[in-house]
Order: sequence, then structure tokens, then C-alpha cells
Amino acid sequence: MTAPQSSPGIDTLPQPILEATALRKTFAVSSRAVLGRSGTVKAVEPMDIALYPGKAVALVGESGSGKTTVARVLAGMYPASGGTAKFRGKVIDLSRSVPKSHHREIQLVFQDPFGSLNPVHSVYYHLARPLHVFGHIHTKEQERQQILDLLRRVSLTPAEQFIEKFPHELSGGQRQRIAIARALAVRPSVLLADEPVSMLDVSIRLDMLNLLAGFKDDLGLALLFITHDIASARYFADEILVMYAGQLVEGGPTETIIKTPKHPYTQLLLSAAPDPSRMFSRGKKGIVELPARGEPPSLIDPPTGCRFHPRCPHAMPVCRERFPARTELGDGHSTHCFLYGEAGSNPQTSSQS
Amino acid sequence: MASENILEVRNLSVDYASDTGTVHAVDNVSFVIKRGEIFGLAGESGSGKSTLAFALARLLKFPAKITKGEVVFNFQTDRQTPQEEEMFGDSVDILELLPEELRQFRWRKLSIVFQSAMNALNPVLTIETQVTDVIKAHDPSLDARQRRERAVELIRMVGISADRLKSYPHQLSGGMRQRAIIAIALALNPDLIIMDEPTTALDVVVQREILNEIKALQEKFGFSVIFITHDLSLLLEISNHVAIMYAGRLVELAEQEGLILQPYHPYSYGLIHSFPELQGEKKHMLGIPGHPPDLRALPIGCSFAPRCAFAFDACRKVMPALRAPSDAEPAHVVACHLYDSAHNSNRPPTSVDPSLATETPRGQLASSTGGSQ
Repeated sequence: MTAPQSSPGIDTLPQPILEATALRKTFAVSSRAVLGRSGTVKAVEPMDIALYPGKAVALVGESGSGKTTVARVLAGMYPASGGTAKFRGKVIDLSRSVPKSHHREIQLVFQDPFGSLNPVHSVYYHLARPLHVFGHIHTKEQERQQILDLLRRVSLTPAEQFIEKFPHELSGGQRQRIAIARALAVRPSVLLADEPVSMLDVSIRLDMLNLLAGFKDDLGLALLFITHDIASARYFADEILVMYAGQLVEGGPTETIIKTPKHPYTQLLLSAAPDPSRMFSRGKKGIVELPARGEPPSLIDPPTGCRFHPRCPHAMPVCRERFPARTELGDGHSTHCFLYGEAGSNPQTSSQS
Repeated sequence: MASENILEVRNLSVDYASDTGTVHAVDNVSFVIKRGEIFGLAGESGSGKSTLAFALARLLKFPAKITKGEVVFNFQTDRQTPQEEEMFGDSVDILELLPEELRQFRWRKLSIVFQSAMNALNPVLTIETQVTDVIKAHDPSLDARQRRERAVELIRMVGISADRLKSYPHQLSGGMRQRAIIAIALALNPDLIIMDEPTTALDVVVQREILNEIKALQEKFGFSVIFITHDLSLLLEISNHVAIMYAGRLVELAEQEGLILQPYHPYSYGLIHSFPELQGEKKHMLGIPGHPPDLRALPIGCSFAPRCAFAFDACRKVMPALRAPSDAEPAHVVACHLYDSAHNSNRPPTSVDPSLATETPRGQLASSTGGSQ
């Protein structure tokens, strides 16, 4: 297995396998639930996202940034509130309940392996179900053989020992491997991984990331990696998208985002991330100056315009009025920020591909 | 005369009684904490770090039991009231305190910040009530007005405006709740604060703000902190000394810089290299193969041996003790046979060689299984 490679540049890549344009999601909130206020949670504002075979895209943001919602809409778990989507170039409708063929191609791995497996069913059952439902097996011997293959693929060896176990007999890492094997059993072409390592012990996280990266390289899966940890996004992904409070603020090749972040929020995220090597570069004071303060806003009544403006050290009057369109910075790097030019007057993302 | 060590933990062991046998959650742990330092305690879930913290504060409940050891707290004489001096003298073993002494001791000398701010605050009481309750319980000399003034002072100190004292916990954001908890811990100006994963549930930007706050308060008031977390990358940034726990035992104890530059224990090395970096070249990393052990069935010898790329015969037979691998830094101790010439005569006592660590069998396994089917 080789280290995850940097993308050679988005322009030279083949067609995306899954792409969504101006994808949007709102949730209706009942008036009683929010103490008299009714309305909608604007969880995801119009954003573009494209996944390529054999490539990993990381969606980075804090809790409440809408990153999980994006994955769930793409997986067909929530109907989209707006936007268009294509799978293998063909238009698909994400705004209503998706056909089974959608799940055959696009699978989701959840964050919490303690909640995503059914405690009363064995490993065998968990993996046999998708094989049956998607018609990959015809005989009992095939079934057992394929389950063993899946267990080996996720490095649960000796597979014969794991096949009859129940979730409570497994550690968190082993459970997450079962959850991944269950997604692979469908033989998808797109795998959406929602914080797949954040519930796991630190020492086994890299092993899990390497396992997932292996599917990208060996099976040509298109991966969406959702994380709050920008350092693991750098490790894992070819491309990084940064979300803040439901808005996509920056996107581009991984190293470009890490080395030359443009959006003030991305800069804040990078400066706040733990990094022991900082100790040597900035002295031993232990206090890291942050370019901005505060916490993400409520999405029921979010700030107007760019939702980061109340915290942004560079906020201008225009930031309050509307959300900036996408500014292309070259080599696939783009940001939504007025600091980098007045990029059109359309407050919604324009589709460029 | 105040000792420069605020806390001396000697051979502390904590067991949990269970139906399937006794679990040694903390096994023969010794360390000292210097006055005014941040002492970092790192470990994975089940390593015993929280149990250790609870033992230090005498907060353990059945079925946990402290089976041996002592926790000596040295008072700072100039900050002691005559009454305290009479009750405690210069130093005291926390494990020997009587209930009334314990009540006098807690919060004035040692307080604790728990992991989950959501659960540590009472949802039906305002922040003000919760701050003043603590002061009322542990410092009866203050009257209601003085308690309120102190509450205002405390809440401002942690960066919350005083009008939020009337708020209930659910009206505050996660970061503010955590700040309120820290304010409560500071209420009686303790000498030592135990912080058990104080920032784990928070977003990264808020986490950084809280860390900056802790550091600033610590510099201002000079208290010592035991900072417990699974996030070693964080710990290495803020601590003066770092102790690494694995399966209930300390496996390495060093100054922050020594540990970053030269981790000796293969587990410490693996843990440090489990955090992808944001600077420098992107490189392939392996983490640590396998998973943390079941404390009910620990292997004989070194608990880490089944996951260790360097394990040899002695590791599976004899439990390693903490010792200094290098004469140059006697304070940097590690529990590993690799650096003990009695067990390992053919290997020079140097730090773990990274090039060897990349040859773990798991890396090869992952690549071979990834390609099949």
C-alpha cells in the first residue's frame, strides 16, 4: 500500500462519478421544539461537490457545519431541498426517495460503530443481509465464502473466528471494520464515510484510515471523508472542502488548502488545530493566538450574508449583505470570500466545471 | 518550608472487583507533580487515566478500591490558614484523610474539572447558584453578598460576561459551559486542579480558546494542573511533564520536549506518530497495530508486547519496570526491556528507530488483503 497521493490537479482528472450542483438542504422545525420560534434550519446552503473514482475528498467542518447532512443527502437518506445531481453523467433526483439502485452504488459508513450495528445479530447476519438484498449470492457456500472474504478485506483475521461473533464481543475498531465490510458487501462505487475514526481509540485510527485509503487505491472507490480534524483530512484526502455553518467556504487540492489557506475560517481552523511541532516554531509559551473568537451560529437564525462575518477579523459591510460567489484561485483552488475579489453578484454558487 | 513537589504519588494501585475477576485499573503508579506545572497524563480508553484521577481526588466508588499506595500532598505554607496548618501540618496523604478533613481539603486545595460539562452542571440550577453553592459548602466564612461578588469575579475571569450568571446550562454553548465548570473549579483558589478531558467534546477552535484560557489563568494564579486526555498532540503542546499510561501502568514519563524529540517506549512512539501533522512533508503513517488489551486478561510480562514490533522473549515473561534508559536524562524513565541491558544486551539503548517501526507485519497485511478479491 502506498501513501495517499496528492491529486495531480483537478483539471486533468476524468469525469466525476457523483456530482451535485447547488445542493441545498433545509429542515423544517416545529414551532414548539424551539421555544416559540418556528422556521427552517438552513443546514446546507447551495454547494457543489464532485467525487472521482480512486480519489478521496475530505469535507471538513465543526459540529453543525452541515457536513454530515451533505453525506446523508448524497446517500439518499434525506431528500435534497434543491440542486441537481448526476451519477456517472446521468441526472439523478435526490429530492425524493431514491431507488434501490442508488444504494447499490453509494454506501454510507456511520460515525458510531456502537450504534450502527444491531446488538442482537451476529457478524454473519450483518454481512449476509446486504449480500442477499443486492443479489450477490445464490448458494449457502457462496454466502459464507463471501463473508469470509469481506472480513479478510477489512483485516479481521482469522475471519473464521469473527464470523459468529456478536457486536458486544468486539472492540470499537473491530465494530467499525464490520460496518465498513457491510458497506463493501454491496459493492458500491462511492463510499461516504462520516467521521469513521472519531469514536475510535487514537492508536487504531491510522490503521483504519489506511484501510479505507486502500479501497480507494485497490477498488477504485470514490471516497467522501467527513471529519472535524483537518490534520487527518490532510493525511487521507486528495481534495479538501471546508464548510462553516452550512456554507462551503473553501475547496481545493489538499496541500494547497493546508499550505495556503485563503478563507479566514480555514485559517482559523488551521491555527487552532493541535500541532506539537508548533512548540518548536513558536516558542514554549503554550498560548496560540487565534485570528478570531466565538462559536458557530445557530442555523435557525443564521447571520446574513457570509455566516462567518460576525467572527471574521476582515469582515466588510458587504459580507453582511450577501454570500460571495466562488472565486477561482487557480489549480482547482477556490474560495467564497470577498477578500479575493468581487466575484459576481449572484449570491448563490454558480456552477462551473 | 514548602516542597517544590505539590503532589507525590507512590505505588498507587486501584482494582475493580467484577464477576469475571479483578481488574487492575491502575497498577503501581508513581510520579510527582511540581508546583505550578501542567502535568499531562495521556492514554487510550481503558488505560486507567480517569480512574487514577478519581483516586487522587478520593472520588472512587464501589466496585473500585484503592489497594495500595500513597498520595502525598505538600502544602504551600504561605497559603495555609492557621486552622489548616493545625489540621494537616506540612503535608498529608490524601488517601488517609478523614471525611471532615477531606471536605476541608477538597476545592480549597484540590479541585477537579470533569469531562462532560453537560453532565457536570445541574440543568435545573442557574450558573450563579452552582458557583455560590460550592463556595457556601467549602468556605462558610463568606456571606451571601460576598459569595455573589466572588461568583461575578470568577465568571468574568474565565471570559463570560456577568449577566450570564442568571442563565441555565442549556442556555449556554458548549464552550461557555466548559468555562463555567472551570470557574467553579477555581472558586476557592485551589493549589491543584485535575482536568479530565476538559476539551474533548468541544470543537477545535473552542478547544483552543479554552486551552489558552487555562494557560493564562495558570500563569496568573500559579496553580498546578493534571491534564488528562487521549489526545497526545494537544498534551505535548501544553504540558511541562507528560506521563503515558497503557493498560493501567505508566510506560513512560518525561519532560515534554524529551518526549517529542526522543520517545523511548514503542507505544509512546506509536502514539506520537498516530497524529497526522499539518506541517512538513506528508508521509505514510502506520499508527499502532492491534487494539488495546482487555484488562481482565492482561498478558504476562509487558502489556504492550502483543502489539509491539520490537517484542522479544523477555517482554512476554517479565514485566518491565520504569527506569532511565540514558544517563544524560535521569528524569526520563521508560518501562521497556529494549533499554535494559539485563534483558537486551545486543541492542544499544537508543530511541526507537522509526525505520524499523514501518516494518510491522500489519502494514504488509493491510496491503495484501486490500488487493485480493
